[in-house]
Amino acid sequence: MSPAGKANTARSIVDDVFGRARTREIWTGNYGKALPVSVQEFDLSAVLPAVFYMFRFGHRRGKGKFLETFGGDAKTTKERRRGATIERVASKLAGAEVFEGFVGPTEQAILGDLLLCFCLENTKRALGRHEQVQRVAPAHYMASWVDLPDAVAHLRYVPEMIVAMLADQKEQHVQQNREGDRSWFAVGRGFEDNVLLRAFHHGVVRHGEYLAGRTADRFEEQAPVGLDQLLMIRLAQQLGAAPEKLRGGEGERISNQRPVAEKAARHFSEDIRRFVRAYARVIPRHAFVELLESCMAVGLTTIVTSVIELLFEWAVTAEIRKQCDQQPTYLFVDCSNGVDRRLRALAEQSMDDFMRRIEQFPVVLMALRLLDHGARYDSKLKKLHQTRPYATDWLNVLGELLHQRREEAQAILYDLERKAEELAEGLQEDYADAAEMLKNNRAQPNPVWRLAEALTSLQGRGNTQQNLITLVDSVLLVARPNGLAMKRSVTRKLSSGGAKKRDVRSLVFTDSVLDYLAHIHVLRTGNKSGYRSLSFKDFLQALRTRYGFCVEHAPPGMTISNELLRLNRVVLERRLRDLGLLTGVNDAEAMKQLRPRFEHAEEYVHGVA
Amino acid sequence: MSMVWLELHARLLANAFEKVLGKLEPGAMAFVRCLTPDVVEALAEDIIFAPSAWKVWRVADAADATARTITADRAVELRESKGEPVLLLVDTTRAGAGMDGIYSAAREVDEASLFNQALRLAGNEVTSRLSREARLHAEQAIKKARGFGHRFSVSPWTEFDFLVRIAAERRRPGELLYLLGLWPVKQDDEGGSGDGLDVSRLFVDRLLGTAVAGLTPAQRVETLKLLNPSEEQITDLERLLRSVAAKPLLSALSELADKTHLWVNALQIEGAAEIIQSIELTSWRTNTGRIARWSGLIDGPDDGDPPVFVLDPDADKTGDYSKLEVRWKARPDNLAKGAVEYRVVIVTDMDEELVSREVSHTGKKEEKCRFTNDDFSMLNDDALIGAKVVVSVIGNNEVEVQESEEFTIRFGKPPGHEPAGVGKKVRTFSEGLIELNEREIVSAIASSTETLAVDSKGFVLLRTPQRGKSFRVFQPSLLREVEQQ
Repeated sequence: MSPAGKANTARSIVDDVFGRARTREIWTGNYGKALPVSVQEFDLSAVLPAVFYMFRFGHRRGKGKFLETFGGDAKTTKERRRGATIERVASKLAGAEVFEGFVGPTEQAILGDLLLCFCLENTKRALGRHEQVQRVAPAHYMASWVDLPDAVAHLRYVPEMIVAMLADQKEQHVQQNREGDRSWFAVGRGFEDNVLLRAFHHGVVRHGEYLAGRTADRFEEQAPVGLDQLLMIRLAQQLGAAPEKLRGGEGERISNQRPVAEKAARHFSEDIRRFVRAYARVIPRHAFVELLESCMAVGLTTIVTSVIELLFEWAVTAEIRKQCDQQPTYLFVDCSNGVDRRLRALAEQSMDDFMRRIEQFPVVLMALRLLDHGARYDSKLKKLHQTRPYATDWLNVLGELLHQRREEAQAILYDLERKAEELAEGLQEDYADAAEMLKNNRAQPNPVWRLAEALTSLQGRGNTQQNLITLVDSVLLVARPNGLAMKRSVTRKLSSGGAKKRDVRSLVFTDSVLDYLAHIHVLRTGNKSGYRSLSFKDFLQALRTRYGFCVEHAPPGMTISNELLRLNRVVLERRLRDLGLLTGVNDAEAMKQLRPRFEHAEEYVHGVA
Repeated sequence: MSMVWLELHARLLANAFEKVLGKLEPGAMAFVRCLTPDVVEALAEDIIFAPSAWKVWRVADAADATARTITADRAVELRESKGEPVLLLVDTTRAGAGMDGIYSAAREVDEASLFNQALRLAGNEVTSRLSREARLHAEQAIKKARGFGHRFSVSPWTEFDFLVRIAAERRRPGELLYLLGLWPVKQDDEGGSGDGLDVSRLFVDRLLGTAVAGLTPAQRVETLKLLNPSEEQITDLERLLRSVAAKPLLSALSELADKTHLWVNALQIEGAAEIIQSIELTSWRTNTGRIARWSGLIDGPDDGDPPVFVLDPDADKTGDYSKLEVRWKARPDNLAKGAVEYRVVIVTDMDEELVSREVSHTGKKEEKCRFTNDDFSMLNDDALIGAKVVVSVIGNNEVEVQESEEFTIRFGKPPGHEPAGVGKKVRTFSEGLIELNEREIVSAIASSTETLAVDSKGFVLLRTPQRGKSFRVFQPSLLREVEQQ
């Protein structure tokens, strides 16, 4: 304890050395210019309603009326949150004019189960009608009226990043599109001008201007919609209006910051556009939402792994790789979904090595934050501070500073060297390990890396590496029926004796992911309608080059028996056949063709076509 | 990592092919597609690779006679011409369409049979060029690299390459361990330093393992407990760990190839200690002051009451056995297995010895000793005894004896707790049953009318005769009630 009685925490010592403002900037796990999301856990299935809102209104979602309507009369927000249960929502809805025959407890229980099935989700995905409701499902566009989770920031800026990537604008912030703008994902325009909203707005019309008020969207009662969609519409109608725009510190505007993985971002945008355009009207809504989530999981996983690979390379070369040469992480996929032990072990080994490598990622992000701060306040360098939509050039400038290839580097590194010394002195008593790290210029001559390593260590594993792992789990939709990975707890013998329990993950293709991947790849390229013939071999090639999913190839740094690689291929082939996604009348490889299960919708010509 | 191609690779593989293909028949055609494209290319270019009487062609996307490469069309023509025996090395990424006829009609040399021969030949080569010990050491290294339960993948080609390079370069197996995912070992001429494989694995686990990836390089080096390392070694080791942190494991280890001062034996770890200094009992209480479940005790009836050890008098009939567990740590923590014997005694509050046990030091992180119902068979059913556990080191009076907190022993019904079931969670049992290998087991389970157990979390449990295949399905309370009615 310091003389004043203030706890001598690591953060307070860093505060003393760097100052409050600078510490606030660096004492985090994020670096939005490279990866514009908060490195933390989020729920991918809750992202779409927020995306709908942002596309419709052109700004970030703020407070709505969910808690006010369904949270009961409790005094505090926390109590209202707890009070908003399926039972209460069902009972409130049952009393509405549009519902008839839901008076008794049994009927209300059935209504509650329907809500839980199609529209709402409890905390921790719990079952039951007495749990706190936490998320809204994207059954219909009107889900955007439901402000769940109550703070949009809990979605870790993922909806904002998705909107920025899909809208593909040039300015600092995402703007309302003007008349005549050519975009598949118009912001603040009619439903018909946005591929995603067009797929989900069925039966809803807008009264008034494009950015008309929060109550302008109305449901046409004659419109035929599915039961799940109708339930969502009724739920939203109960709220009376869409949420307000976000107020307060974080700002209403949607940042147009995109990830440095430009290629993966472009692929994500392309995939989601083509998939929604082709199948939104032909795949039943519930299945379509599942496939769309798989689509987002595949796309976001590729973005995250590509950013990680790019920044690891940046740390060595000081440059962000050109867009055309960018690659995701190559990971082995267990096509047997864990049924074959040997394939599962390979997929776990591959993923385990990836998880080992990404432990270094928070240190790289810390180095970026330190350099960024130093460079932004340099009179010459700040002129180069153009980071939106892509921060590639700025990161290259930071790389040149890191490797001392610019004259300005000397002053910045000198300042950081001094800070390292000062911080080491402050930490000496309570955090001797970190102090030693900062002083050890023999093992690490560059002060940026010394500081980055020490500060990351002071932040603690729970705030850095563990958060990154939860982010990776979130984008992979781990252990979900439409997810990309499985996780299991294993007890492994240690070479030093004893055993340790830990989680191992493996990449798998769930049926939903396979369905999505097959359907997206049989579509013709560009904006041409209809299907193309796609051989199984070309499909595997596409999975590897586009997303890094290795089925019949060993990922770099792994040696795999060819027999096992072939087994993996055979298992995938058989599963595709079972799902009705592959035909082949003989052994000829070229004759094994993928085919869709759903007929492609012949779409009217969009303004862009 | 780029592949190192040696003449011996080609010669041994040629011999292996000859052995596998056996007797020649006119017009014969065989193909191999289990080799990676780089190996196929290297084999085709290397004229030493010439299985006797077989004409060798690589099948790829462009013809090049100097590199013994043809296209798939030409391969089909060769098959139809029925000329001299042909061995096709198929580059599966470039061969293109048209090979299907060959795949279905010609003879395939599969990976298992080819490498069965190739590994044997490579092993013989190691024996003849180095020694039988070197071969045994190399084979041990491969086993060690695979780890327990073949957890780490080592492909047949990697094994073969490892043996070939040992033989061709006349290197000690320890020097090339990085090819297998192990830390290289420096061996002296007399081979006196042992094989070092366990230490090699330990280095990989402690320096590059996933479990330690969150530690800083300095912390990781510290966990190794190196014996008198030089400052240069520590610095270089830390530097290496930093530079390879973001690389795949094999690439990371390959960086060690020319850093002999960082190899095992150049870096030595402290040997196990033989002399115990102290012991420290692990508290039965958690941080919140509650009794930990592992102890086998339960909280006393009131706050401040000593914990209770409850014994079921009818345990032999009900199977409701109790256990009392004591844990302790010994100092130094690298004390060798079996270095000391402990005496663990339960004494009453009148200092009478109730029961005692002698246990040997296991060398694990924590030592433990358990007492069960049988140890208390001399007590009457109405016994209510205050007791404590005393742990001492046999034959060493210098180590302070450790005593546990007091607890009460009584008979009664141990608090029941339904353990959570063990098994993979599935949506339906059919989803689990498709994983079984034998149809008969599935039929037997499907036709069984036996009621299945339900665990404390509301999951129905299904245990199958196949090892490791147990499943759980969540049973909603509504369904449970319906079933019970």
